[in-house]
This record gives sequence, structure tokens and C-alpha cells, in this order.
Amino acid sequence: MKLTSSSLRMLSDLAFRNLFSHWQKNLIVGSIMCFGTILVVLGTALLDSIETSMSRSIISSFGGHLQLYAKDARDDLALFGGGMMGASDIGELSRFDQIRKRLEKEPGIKAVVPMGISRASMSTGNEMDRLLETLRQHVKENQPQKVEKQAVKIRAVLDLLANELERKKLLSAAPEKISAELSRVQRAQSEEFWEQLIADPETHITFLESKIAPISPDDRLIYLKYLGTDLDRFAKSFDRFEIVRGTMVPSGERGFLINQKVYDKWLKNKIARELDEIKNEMEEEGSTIAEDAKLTARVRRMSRLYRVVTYQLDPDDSDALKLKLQKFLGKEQGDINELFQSFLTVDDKNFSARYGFFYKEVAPLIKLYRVAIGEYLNTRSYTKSGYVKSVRTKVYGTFRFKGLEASDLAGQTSLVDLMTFRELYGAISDETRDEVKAIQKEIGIDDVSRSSAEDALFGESMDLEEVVETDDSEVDSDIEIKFNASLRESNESTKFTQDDIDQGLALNAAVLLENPSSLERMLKRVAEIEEEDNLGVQAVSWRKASGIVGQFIVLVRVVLYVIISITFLVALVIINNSMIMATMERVKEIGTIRAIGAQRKFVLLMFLMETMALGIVSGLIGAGIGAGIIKALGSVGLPATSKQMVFLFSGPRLFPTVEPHHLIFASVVILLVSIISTLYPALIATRVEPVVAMQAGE
Amino acid sequence: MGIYVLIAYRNLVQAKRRTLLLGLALASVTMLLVMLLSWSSGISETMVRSATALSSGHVNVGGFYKSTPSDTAPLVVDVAQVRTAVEKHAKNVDYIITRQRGWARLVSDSGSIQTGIGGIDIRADRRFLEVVQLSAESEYLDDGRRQIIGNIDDLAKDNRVLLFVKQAKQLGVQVGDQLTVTIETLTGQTNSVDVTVAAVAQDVGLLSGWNIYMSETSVRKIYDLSDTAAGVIMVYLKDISEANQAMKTIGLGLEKDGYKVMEHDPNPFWAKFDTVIAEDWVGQKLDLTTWRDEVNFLTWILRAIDSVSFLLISILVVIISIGIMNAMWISVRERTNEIGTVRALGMAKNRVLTLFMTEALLLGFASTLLGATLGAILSLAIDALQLVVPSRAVQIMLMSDTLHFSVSISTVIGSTIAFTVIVGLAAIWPAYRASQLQPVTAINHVG
Repeated sequence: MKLTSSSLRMLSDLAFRNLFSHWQKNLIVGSIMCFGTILVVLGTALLDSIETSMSRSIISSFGGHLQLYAKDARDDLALFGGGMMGASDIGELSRFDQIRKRLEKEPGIKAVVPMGISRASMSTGNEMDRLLETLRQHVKENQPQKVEKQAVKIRAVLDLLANELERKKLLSAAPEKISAELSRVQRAQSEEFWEQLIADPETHITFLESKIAPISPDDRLIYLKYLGTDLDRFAKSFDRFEIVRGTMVPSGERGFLINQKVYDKWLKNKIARELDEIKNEMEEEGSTIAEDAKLTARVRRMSRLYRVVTYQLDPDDSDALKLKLQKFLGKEQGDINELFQSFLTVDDKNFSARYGFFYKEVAPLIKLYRVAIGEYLNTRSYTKSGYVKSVRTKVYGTFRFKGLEASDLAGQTSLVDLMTFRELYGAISDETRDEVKAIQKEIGIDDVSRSSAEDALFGESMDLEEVVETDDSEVDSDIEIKFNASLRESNESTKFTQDDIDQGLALNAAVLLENPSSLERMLKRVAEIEEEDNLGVQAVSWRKASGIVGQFIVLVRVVLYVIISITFLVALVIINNSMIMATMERVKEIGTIRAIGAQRKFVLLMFLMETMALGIVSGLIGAGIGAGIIKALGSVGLPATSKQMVFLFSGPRLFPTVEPHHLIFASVVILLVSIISTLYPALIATRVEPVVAMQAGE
Repeated sequence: MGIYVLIAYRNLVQAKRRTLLLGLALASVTMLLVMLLSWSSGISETMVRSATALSSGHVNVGGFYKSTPSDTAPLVVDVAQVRTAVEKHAKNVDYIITRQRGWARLVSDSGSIQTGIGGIDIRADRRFLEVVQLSAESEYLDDGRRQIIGNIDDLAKDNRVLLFVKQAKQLGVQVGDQLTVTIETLTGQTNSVDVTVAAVAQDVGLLSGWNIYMSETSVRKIYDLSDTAAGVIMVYLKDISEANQAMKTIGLGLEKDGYKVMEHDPNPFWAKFDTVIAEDWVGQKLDLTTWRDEVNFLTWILRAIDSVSFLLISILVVIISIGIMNAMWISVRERTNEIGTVRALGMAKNRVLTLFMTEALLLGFASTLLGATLGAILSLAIDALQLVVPSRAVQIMLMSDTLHFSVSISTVIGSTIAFTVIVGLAAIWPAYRASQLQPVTAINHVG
């Protein structure tokens, strides 16, 4: 039979008529299809939204579209960690300049930004050092009153230090060493020491600086992950980058820019941070302190941390705050500690008033962040060959990436100039390397790599333990102080030029493209350039460079597709089953149609058309419902219920969007499923002989 | 009752195709459920195994010592005394050990890693010896021998270190090589010491990448610690499920003995520095945790897998239930005449109901049992194959390089019962409708 347009029309008429005449079966099969469509629309739209926000977090924060790193690298580049605690060895781009110049000639490449990622511990210094510096200044300016006031402060710290040493004796395997330190502190605590200090400040302050300051504890260490880069070029190329506090590091100067997220999450005063987080949970999640057990425990714990505020207060400020707290709380009794502790015992009713009071009255009196903008950080890092390297660098400000404030990926890394990075990394200049090479040639060692150059310079068997042990001897402490001072000077004053930045090494580099969709093509192009010019680089996409993070997105996608396929497989069986049963019921009808002249092909088409009609109707309804749900989620946001989800969503809420291709994909899938599930029942139907129709009634 | 089963059985056989297809769908979903559950409990087992061998006892009695209000060290100062007290209060104890805890940088000629150090007494640490297996040299060295080099007992000697395969590869070292361990002491000094690789062990899930092991005395020496201080007392119970209760009992006992015990905070010890440093007290406080607290940064993986499984199974249950209802409807319609006849002959309504329910339950039970058994067999087979997972992300999720399934009889029985019940529920409405048919209309029904 030739299919004419009239027979096609008849087929479709029949199909739609049958949708209603067999409504019971169709309702069941249709609802399964509809359900399936909703599932596909929701799954793919959510996943794409997650991927879009994550790719945005990676590409426009640090990743760029492509990443370059050494061709002979031992490990894969993993910008956001590879799951091991060790620093991965991605080799070096020793002649970064050549690579940049060559690639920036290439049409389609917007910028090539040099980079290097590392971690370091930093400290803002030692309280005793700071106190002594001020003391020295007061002495120099000849202000006896101020000297006296400063002396009181220093002696209070000395008392604390003596207590600390007493307690530390309990832990130590060498208590006699601590006893010796303690006797020095006791000497400094004595009345006559301070009387003599007035008479002969120089000797006595030097004693405090060289004998006491080294044993008094440094401020607590801050661990930072940082990215060393050409800051000017970075700021120009990553257009979401913006300074939040402070200023940009001036061109040609060394400096840190701390990520605002790190600043708020790790460096803010603990009480302020707790208050912020409690406020956030109450507002975002609608939790209450009374009902949410975790929040209750959190408030209880917070009230015990009053010290991080009260300890910082000046005596005058402390008295003033005490009065204000008494008034605010309506309490007469208690010292500042007790008052502040009861202030921190917040509940649902008084929380917002106390939050306001804290920021208005308390915050201005304390150091709200452990590192103030403009302060210097002593940064200690292990160089490639395991030596400890110290650098003192100024913190110029904090930054963020516009629109990515909530993303954990964009919020974990701080920035430093490339010169400081190289110093901490342990890179040496080419001249030094040539020099070392010459020396080594003389003594008969052939090859010097960058990493072993340091060994060569300082002697391979330099033992760090020895350095520590000699700490005790008087000479060494003096040397160290002078060394520190010179370090201070040298690093503060070292300026550099653009050439200095360009000539040295980088570990990896971000490539920004004019057109993101040319990514695959540009990957190939870089490989070709490498073939031609032998620059020693390899290029990877941002997804691959993101390390474990990119793999997780792929994993989530695989899981989603597995779920969808299993669901459809089961649905297929169920639909198929229903169809077969429906066909069995219609044997008589089919027989009749066949008896009045319809060919087998007509019957087959009739069945297929019927399911397709059903598929289209339920697919449309399902796609509509799915799109509706995504639209609704897109306006209120899908809340992340765990830390991992916050990470995945690049923020506390995901605002998914639905694209036409999600709906089309879902509809096509559902149509395919419906056709496949009808094939077998339809085949059975074609085998019905006209004669059956007559027998069935009997 | 027997007659119902017989009739139901015959009906099922008569509608062979329908029974087969529906049964197949049911069986495969049950199989999937059993496999997912076995997988999840396999991961959970891996986690318990590696956590309790490498980083935690069933119950841990650790603590913090503050020499000033603004610092802290994760130490128990009078460890011998505290240990005696713990021994007194803990019940159903298998054994108790003490360990040192540290954090170090390891540097070799060709690489460096940042890692936790465990200071262990290798002779007393039974769980460690049981779980940690030495690896053949070829596992971590390109042209290494296919035999185990090194001896785990050497860990008793000073300055010997045990690494895991991944670390050995990262550092590019083999047994007998020297490494430098650098740590920061409690007084803020940097100490370092040269150590020799005594043995390289097979990786034990993800956690083994984050820890190396030395003798307790060596760790104590690097840290300049007195003999009376230790990182943690680890209590192993006869039954791990009692860990929570045991922690409470021990905590109360210690408080009664006059020790200061911190409020329970379900986090690993290294996540607590920030809070402890900010608190205003000096001296010693003890901190009790269970193994679950110490690895709580990993339990989200189990939660994620369980919720995905739950989602998938719920979707499938919905689809399957619709399918069953549909099948029952058609079965009722096909047999309306028959129902009319038996009703006219005097069969009571509730018997018709029972008849249909029996049919559904019989089908449900047989196919879910088959599916569950198949699922169990398949899980065991995959587990035995020790399939290697290719992606690092998946390895992290599974906390292991290989797929591990743990099948229990209760999973098989539980899934079978649950699914049979679901089938029964889906069948109630059609069966009820069948029983409500009037004999006359039923007999006259055509088609």
C-alpha cells in the first residue's frame, strides 16, 4: 500500500481518537512518559546550570580557558588540588617570555598570564617585638611617661610568658632548657632590671630583643594558598577581578592581595565570624537558635570565646565598653569578661540587636581582622628542595571576582607578585645559575638543575636541626636579629621592572581566548606551535587543569546519565508490557480492520502513530512541568544543604535555568523510548489474521 | 490457603508473557537495589576499616593542653594516669593503645609531601598490623622486584618510617632510602630529622595518603616531648556499634575522677584548634570522640551515595507500581467473565480479593527473591574481581582504588520483603475493584 496523504491523515485521526478510547492504558503509559520527561528536563537543566556556574568560577577566577605548563612535567597540573597533600611537581616554564610572545602573536588569543601556585605559613610577627619597637621609639623621643606606660604593658606580657614556660616544662623532654629560659624571663621581670633600663636603655632593650623576644611566641600562623602572577596583567586579563579593600599593589612593587573570602572566613575575629555565620543561618535557612540543635550548640560554644575580644581591649576602652554593656544588658554586676560572655549568650529574640551592637560598639575597639591592610606578613614557605624560605611582604588589600563572591573555588586562593613567588619557590636567576655552573665545573660536577642549585650553593648536607640548636648561643641570636632586619629592608625596598617579571620562570600560565568556543581548536593550535617551535609547553583545557574538581563534574554527569538510563530501561519494560496487554485486548479490532482491507504495514503504522501521539502529548506536558519547576527554582533558588553542595553550586543557592535544548533533548528521548517500546507489541498486532476478528466474539 | 496459591500460580502461568515481563522488571529493580545497598555498605566498611586502623580508635580519648589562653597543643599530658582511668571506666574493651600525633613535611631528593605523622607502638597496635599490608617493590618502583622489601617490625626502631605506595611514588623513594622530616614544635621551633624508610605498605583507601607512621618514641623525640605526654588514647571495643555509648560512659567516668572533659564536638581533632585557641582556659582538657567524628569529613560521601540510591530506587518504585497496577487492571478485565461466574457460584467478595492479592504477592515474592539473589551473587562476583576504578575522583568517592561490595543476608531478605510489600500495595486497588463486581454485570461483560 502506498501511503497517501489521506491515509496518513486517517492514521493520525485514528491515533488521536484511540488516545481517548483507550484512556485507561494511555493514562498509565502517558504518566510514565510524562514522569520520565520531567526527570530528564530537571536532571539535564540542573546539571548544566551547575556546570555553567562552576566553569565560570574556574575560567574567570584563575583558570582562563587554557592552561599551559611544562611538557616534561611529572604530575598533571591541578589548579585546585589533585587529592594528595603533596605539592605536585608540574615542572617549570623557565623561559616564559618566549612562550608568551609566541602565543600572543596567535590570532584568537587575548592574553597569556604567568602563574605559580603554592602554600605558605605566614605570621604577623611577635607581640614582644612590636612592644619593644615602640619602647625603643619612646626612649629615642625621650618621653619618660610613655616609656613607663609601655613598661607596664611589657611586664604584663612577661608575666604571661613566665606562666607559659612553667606549663610548657610539663610537656618538654628537656625541661632544663626551659628552666634556663625561665630564669632569663625572671630577670626581666625583676624591679631592678627596669630601674637599670631607665639608666641604660640600650643594653637592656637589646637584652629583651635578643633574649626574650625569641622565646616569646609568634602570633598564630596563618596558612594561605597563593598564586604568584604578573599582577597588572592578571588584573587586566581577568575582568571580574576587583579590589575590595585597600589598593592594588603598585606596578613594580612586591605585595600580597588577600582573597576577600579567605579574609572573611579565616582571618576575621572569631566572634565576629561566629556572629556572621549565625546570622546567615538564621536568615538563609530560617533556623532558630531555640529549635536547631546545631545552632544552639554553636551559640553555647561562642559564648566561651569572649576572650578573643576582651583580651584585645585597652584598659580605657575596656572600662567604656563595660559601662555600655551594663546599660545595654541592664546588668549592674560583673567584670568585662562576665558581661561580654552574657552578651554573647544570644537567643532568637535579642540576636539582631546584639549583632548590631557588636558591629557598632565593639568592632571599632578591636582588631577585626588578624591581618590589617597595610601590615607586613612574614611568609615562610618550603622551597622546592625542602629549605625554609622567609620573605616579608606587605598586604596591600583584598580582592574578589565580581559575581563569584559565593564560589569556594574562586575564593580559596590569594595573590602575590611573581617576584615574591619566585623567591619563596626557591628560583634563582640565570646569572646565579651560570655562576654556580662555573663553580661546579671547577670542582667537577656536571649538571645543575634549578632545584639542586640551591644545594650546590649552600652545601647539600646543611642540617636544619643544627640551625635550631644554635639558636641558644648568644652570638646567633644577634646575628638573627640583624639578619631579620636586613631581610626587612631588602624586601621592602626591592622594586622590579616588567622585564624582571617577564624574564624569569613561571610554573604555569593561563591563556584567555577571544572566543571561548574556539577552545578545542586552540588546544590543537598550541600543540602545533609546540611541534614547530619547541617551547617545551603543553596546553590543557580549564576542565582538565582544574584537577579533581573537573573530574567530579564529569562524575556527577555520569551518575545522572546512569540514573536516567536505568529509569528508562525499566520504564521501557513496563510500557512494553502495558502495550502488549493493550494489543491483546484489541485483537478483535485489529482483525476487523485487517478484514476490511488494511495491510499489515497500516496496522504497524497505526500502532506507532498511536504511541507517538501519546509520546508527543505526554512529552509536551512533561517538558512543560519540568520547565515550570526549573523556572520556579530559578527564581527562589535551590538551597544547598551541605558544604559539598555549596561547593558544587558555587554558592549557597543554585539558580538553574532551562534552555530549549533541554526540552528538545527530553522530548526526543521520550519519543524514542515510546517508539522502541511499541515495536514489539505492534509487531504482534501485525500478525493478527483477519479471521481472528470473527472468532474472538464467540 | 493452598488452593489460592494454586489458582494464583495457574493464572500466572496462563498469562505467561505478562508474568515474565513484569517479573523481569521487578527482579531487575530488586537486583539493582541489593547491589546499591551492598555497594554502599562496602564503602562504609572500607571507611571503618581504614579509619580505625589509621587514624582513630573506636573511641578516642585525646585532649588539648593550653600553656597560655591563646595557644594549644593536641596532647594528653599525664597519659599513664588517664589511661588507667579509661581502663577503669570502659566496658567491653578489646584493647587500648596510645599514639602520638604530628604534622610534618617530608622531603626526599625528588619530591616533598605534607602529611600527618602517627607515632605508634607497632607491637601493641593490632588493628594496624592486621590492615596494613606491605607492598611488593614493583608497586612503587618502576623496575622494582616482585617481592616485599623491608620489615614492618623495624618500625619499633628509632627514626624508621613506614610510607604507603602513593607517598613512596610521590617522593620517589624505596626501602632503605633517607628522608628528611621537618616539623614545628610546640614552642614554634622548626625541627628536622633524617629518617630511613623501613617499609612501604599498600594504600588503605584515601586516608593512607595523608599519614605516615613512625615509632612513638621517635615522634616524641622530634617534638621534644616528655615521656608522660601522648597524642591520644585509642580504645578498641569488642563491638564497634557501642562506640557512642562507650564514649559517654568513659567521659562521665573521667569527669567523676576530676578530669576536665570538653563538650562533645563531632569533629576530628585537627578541626578544633580554631575554637580551642579562642577559649579562655589554661592547662589540660580531655576531648572524647568516636571514630565517626574523626572521619566526619568523609561521611558525606556515604550520605551522597545513599541519597542518590534512594532517589533512583524511589523513581523506579513509582514506575514499577504503575506497571503492576496496569497489569492487574488488565488481568481483572480479561477475567471479568470468570469473576462473574465464580461469584455467581457463591464465592464471597473477600475471597475474590484474596485470590487477586495472592496472585500479585506470589509474582512479587518470586521475582524479588530471584532479583535479590541475583543481585547478591553479582555483588559478590564484582567484589571478588577487585575491579580497579580508573578515575581519581571516583577513587576519592569510594575511598579505595577497587570496587568493594559487602553483601549481607539481611539486605537480601529486607529488599525481598520490601518489594513484595510494594507489589502488594500496588495490587490492592485493582483487586478490590474486582471483588466489588456484581455477578450479573460481570457475566454479561464482553471482551
